[in-house]
Amino acid sequence: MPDPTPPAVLVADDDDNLRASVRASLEREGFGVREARDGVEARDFLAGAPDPAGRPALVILDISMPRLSGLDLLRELRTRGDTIPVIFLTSRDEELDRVLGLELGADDYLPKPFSLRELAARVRAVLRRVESRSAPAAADPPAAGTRESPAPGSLTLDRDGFRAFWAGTELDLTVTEFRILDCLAERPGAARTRDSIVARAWPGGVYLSDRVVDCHVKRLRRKLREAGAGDEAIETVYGLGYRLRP
Amino acid sequence: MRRPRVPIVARILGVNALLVFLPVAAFLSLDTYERSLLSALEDSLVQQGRFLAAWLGEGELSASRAEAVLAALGRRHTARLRVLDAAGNLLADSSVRPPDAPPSAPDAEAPYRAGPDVLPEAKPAESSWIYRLLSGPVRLWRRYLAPPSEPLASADFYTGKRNFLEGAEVRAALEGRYGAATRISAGGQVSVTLYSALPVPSPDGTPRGAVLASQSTYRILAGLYRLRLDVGRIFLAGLAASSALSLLLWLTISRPLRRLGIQARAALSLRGLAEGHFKPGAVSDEIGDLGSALREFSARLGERLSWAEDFASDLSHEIRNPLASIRAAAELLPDAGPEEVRILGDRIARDADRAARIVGGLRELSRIEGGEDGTGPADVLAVARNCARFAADRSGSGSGPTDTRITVEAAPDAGELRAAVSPDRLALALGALLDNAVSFSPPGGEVEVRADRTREADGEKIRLSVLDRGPGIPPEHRDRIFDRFFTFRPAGRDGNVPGTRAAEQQASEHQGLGLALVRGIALRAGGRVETADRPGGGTVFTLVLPAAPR
Repeated sequence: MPDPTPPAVLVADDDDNLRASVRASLEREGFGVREARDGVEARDFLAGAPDPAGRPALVILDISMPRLSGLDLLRELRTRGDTIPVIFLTSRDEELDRVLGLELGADDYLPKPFSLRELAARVRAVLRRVESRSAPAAADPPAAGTRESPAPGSLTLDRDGFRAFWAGTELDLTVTEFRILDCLAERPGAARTRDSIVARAWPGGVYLSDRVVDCHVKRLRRKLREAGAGDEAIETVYGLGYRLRP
Repeated sequence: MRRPRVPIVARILGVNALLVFLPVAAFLSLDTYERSLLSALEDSLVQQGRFLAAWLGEGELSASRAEAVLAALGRRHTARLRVLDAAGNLLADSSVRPPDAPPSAPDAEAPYRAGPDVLPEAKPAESSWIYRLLSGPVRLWRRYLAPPSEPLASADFYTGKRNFLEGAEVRAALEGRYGAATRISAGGQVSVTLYSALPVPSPDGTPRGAVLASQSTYRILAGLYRLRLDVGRIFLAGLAASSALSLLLWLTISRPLRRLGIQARAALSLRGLAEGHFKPGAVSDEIGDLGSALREFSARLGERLSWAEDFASDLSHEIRNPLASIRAAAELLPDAGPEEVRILGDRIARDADRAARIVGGLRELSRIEGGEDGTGPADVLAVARNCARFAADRSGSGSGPTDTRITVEAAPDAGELRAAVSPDRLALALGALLDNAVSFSPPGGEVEVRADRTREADGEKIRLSVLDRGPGIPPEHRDRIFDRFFTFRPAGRDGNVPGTRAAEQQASEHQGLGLALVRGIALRAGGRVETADRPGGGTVFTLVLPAAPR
């Protein structure tokens, strides 16, 4: 890797086998990996590594862990003002609802079982977004040469960087939200069913309820509104799905 | 096919109204009373005529004598009496006042007035709406269904006639027989006038003339109408009373039932049967019982539903972990070296085993929690000794911490200890408790099993305790350790480094179902399981089971 100090990722999951596989996969992708067997270990690790060099750049948190759940740990971290990016791993639909509902400030999540490649892609996307957030220059729309899409209105999509811009303002989207927006932006004005949105935004072939899509679209709308887009940038097609206003 | 819907309240009202209406209708339609009145009227008519005829037969029949006799009667007769000579000519008429007679008082006159009459009442009873309403069916019956009656000759039959021979009863009387005729009264009345003609006897046998007594049934019918009107009033009062009774029944039967139905439908549509949608009724009657039965039913159904839902959720949750691991390992395979491939294959196999164990354990648990009961009794000490031997063998086989000794002892005065639970179930529960105790025991530790007998409020119990010298249960986990899939294991407790084979193997063996199984078995057997800190360190799990009846 060109980067002399590869970013470290903390993987907290009580499933030893899964942790080992995730570790192997992320190491192949060039990340440094630390492991924690439960929430308390993860908390201790983060608390014991205040030094920026040794501190992981991102945490992958399983939600159901003995002693301290991933949700509780994240709540603790955010209460302390720790903004370390977090990707959740969930195995319960109820947990998914809570992740989406509580808006704890997780950066993304993956339902189990997931693809390791997908996990690595999300880790990279989250890290890239965090980087662009901290570097002021990166708030500009992507330079020419990146895969820019002819999105409608003031929307610009950077498909490599999983970044979206509304009139030059970057939208702080999760990978899932980006994919939903990308799916809608492909053909502005054309309605997309919830099923087709699920197929595009959750490529792992997981089963999700329509409610989850609605929940994500709600958040996406909010983010668009905060960036200055109108309330109806994404229109609901009653009984079918959504469409992007051309 | 849809059956017609007849609300209970309608049926209650129908039955009550019918109970009132039936006797009334019978009374009105049988006309017994009317017939007996009419025959009494005819009897009295004939009687009066006979007396008059007998009296007149004493002497020569002439108009003056007839009138004198009629006057002598003092008009204390109720019928109209007419005297005819042998040719049928009118000699005297009780309703025709002689020109020289003093005007009689109206009250004296009224009784014998025959023919169309006007009652003293301003409003005739039969024109009242109640009468019309109630007699409607009877009138219809009379009009359309009754057999046609003899055509009756016109009323006022003899008015304006001088010769009465047109009347069949007069002819009969003049021939020496009794004659009678019934004719409709004039003036559109429904009453009829009865005519009876009797011969005035003479010594030679040929009648000297005839006495014609006539009286309208109008007054009787009017009386009857009034009677019917009263009966109608009684009926309406009865109907009101029965409606009030029906209302009471509706309030106490139909309405609570309806409410139960609404509640049942609401409970179904919300699916949340457990939330006590059936509210207790105010009255403790059969419907109250039904309500509480339904409440019980819905609560238990709700429990069952949420149990099944939790079960499915737990299953899917627990299965996803090995699945995620298998999928991850499979994804790593293509780029793995030979040694890595071996490790990954091993991992996949173990995860598949884990998934199978989860499914099997849940199946076992669902059989126990879901209600398949075994039969007892179980010899507690024998089961405990067997379990101890097997658990010790397992602990010595290398997967768990080794060399844990297990001892079994009974309280000295306990006698024969038999619990009302199937031996297989007891062995399963005790085995799970022992495995749990062994896995938490320090190497070379000892696990004790103690059996005892106690008496509690609801009967004799067998107490079976498993004591270990492990690290104990943190207070915050006390109430959750019996939940499915709840596990807590202090990290690094037995020196296993995370990710090592020993740690993995151990983690995969304890799927968090053992204690849930123990609780399920205890509850199904009517007992319970308790946990406490052991004095001097460690944990005590105690199975409290009902003793088998001796």
